[in-house]
Amino acid sequence: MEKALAETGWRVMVPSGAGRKGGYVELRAGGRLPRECGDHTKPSTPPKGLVFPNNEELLSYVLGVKGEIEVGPASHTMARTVLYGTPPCDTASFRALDSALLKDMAEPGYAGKRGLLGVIGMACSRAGRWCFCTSVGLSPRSNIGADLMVYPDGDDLLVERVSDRLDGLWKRLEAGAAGADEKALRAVEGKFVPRVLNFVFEAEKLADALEKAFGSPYWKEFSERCVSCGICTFLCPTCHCFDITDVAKDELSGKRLRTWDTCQFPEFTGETSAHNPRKERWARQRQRVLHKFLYHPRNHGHMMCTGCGRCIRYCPVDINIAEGVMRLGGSK
Amino acid sequence: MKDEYIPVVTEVADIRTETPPGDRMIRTLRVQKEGKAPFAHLPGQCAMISAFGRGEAMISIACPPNGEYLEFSILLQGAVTTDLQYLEKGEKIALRGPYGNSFPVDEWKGRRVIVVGGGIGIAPLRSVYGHVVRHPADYAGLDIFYGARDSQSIIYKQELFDLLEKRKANVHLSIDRPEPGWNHFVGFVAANLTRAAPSPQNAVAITCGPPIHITVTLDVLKKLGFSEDQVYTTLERKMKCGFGKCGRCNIGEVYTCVKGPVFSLARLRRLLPEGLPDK
Repeated sequence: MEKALAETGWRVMVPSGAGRKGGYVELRAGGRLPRECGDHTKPSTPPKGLVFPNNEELLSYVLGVKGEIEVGPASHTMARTVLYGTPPCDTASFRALDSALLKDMAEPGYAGKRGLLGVIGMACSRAGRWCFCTSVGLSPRSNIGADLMVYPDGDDLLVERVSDRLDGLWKRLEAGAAGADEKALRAVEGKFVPRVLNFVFEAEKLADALEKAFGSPYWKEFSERCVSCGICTFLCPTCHCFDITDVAKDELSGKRLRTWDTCQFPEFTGETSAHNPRKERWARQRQRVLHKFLYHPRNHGHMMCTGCGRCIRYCPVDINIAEGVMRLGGSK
Repeated sequence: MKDEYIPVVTEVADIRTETPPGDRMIRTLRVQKEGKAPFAHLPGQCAMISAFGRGEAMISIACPPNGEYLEFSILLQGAVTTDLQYLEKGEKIALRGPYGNSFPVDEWKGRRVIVVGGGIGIAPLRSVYGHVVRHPADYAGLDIFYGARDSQSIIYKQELFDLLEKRKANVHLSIDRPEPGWNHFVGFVAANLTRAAPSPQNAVAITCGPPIHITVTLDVLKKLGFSEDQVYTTLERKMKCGFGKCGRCNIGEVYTCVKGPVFSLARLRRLLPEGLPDK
């Protein structure tokens, strides 16, 4: 695999390791690819920033002294990149991001970079305390969002072709006989069954239950400690809400930027007239939960949560979305 | 692929100062590119207008589709609209759109259209009443209820008095407090609506204005016997992208910038309660 990847000349990004702020980092020339994947290898920062950076130029402008306007489009490009060894939760984040940002009218920045990204997911062999992928329709071996999926099997590595996006690489691997057949895949599957997770809820019943819970007093209890820092959304692999801001270089020129934003900030929905439909903390936390478990599923047919557990793990006041959903959506 | 963020650069062909200069000044900008509208629109749609260095603001298109120009009535409020107040006739302006859905004016053919606008909320409704005025044979009648805080704040004054004089519409104007020389209604728009009590028979009612205006108007229309599919409103929400990506203008699963801002009351009720204005 190392050899085949190196031959492609693409940039290879791998998880930097558990809890590391580096997120996904570039593999050094001659560096070893990760051999396993689990909560102990999952970085604190999800991979979304690769194709959806926190800060991206949308256009530049130059104004003339007589009021002329010149607008220059931004080039939404990057070096051709392959993500290798993403756990299934991070791999699946691309399905959610693709539906939210590419369907109907595409978000130009994301669309440009996403077309240059390949994702090689890796089956996950160790769940963490905060993991709940099996409650959101995923599993430690789900290949959703992946172009290729790899299954470590002792010293061997089984490779599954999921989409045609990395066929160039796939062909090189096939030549080296690394590709796995159905039988071998089925045989190795048993290694990646989840251990008992702490948070389990029934996905099928969720939407109905959550719709009924819209007016529930529980939202206030759920969000009581919230400090509206937004870390749950910034570290979320699927959250993608953004702001657009002009940065003036001088009176006559500057840039327009897209930056991450969060539904947890009080002014996120504040209108110029001072009307704000979500001025309360509980209404904002409700928005976060319902966007993931009710609105996005209605629009796109899958949850906008991959059960990675980051929002729980890194919340400074221990707000637990899985517990909240269990409470409102009927736990098993 | 089309880059949705890139605005069309066009020109301010004309400016009408609707209300006197001050901290709530309203000007109507007419925007034209080589004698044509920069893009086609439908009544109720919006456009994202740029003030470079300040940002963008979603502004409703305040004229009926006409192919020749777009008009925007802009109230001085925030950073972008403050900047736009300095634009002069003949200067360039950049905008993108059109965004959002529209009032189903074709479905309403043969019916009476009742417009209930409060304050700057009359601007998006003008795209509808202007359409009805342009196609009088298609509709059974036109009532315009419109009020502002005082007589100075009434916009489209000349046009509305013309419609009244030429009997092209029943125009019911109001201001909040009495003023010498004001011989129209004094009180809120909803009170004027209650007084005139238009019949729901073969009619549709559309309303826009501050949240409290919408709430009270919906109550009055209900009392007058309008069913929820006869009542339409257009909602303000904070918007940044305009095409359903940035995540802030949603009401339930619906992004207002794509499947709004125009909603029938029946449709709003089917969405989550968040859609209805605050009481």
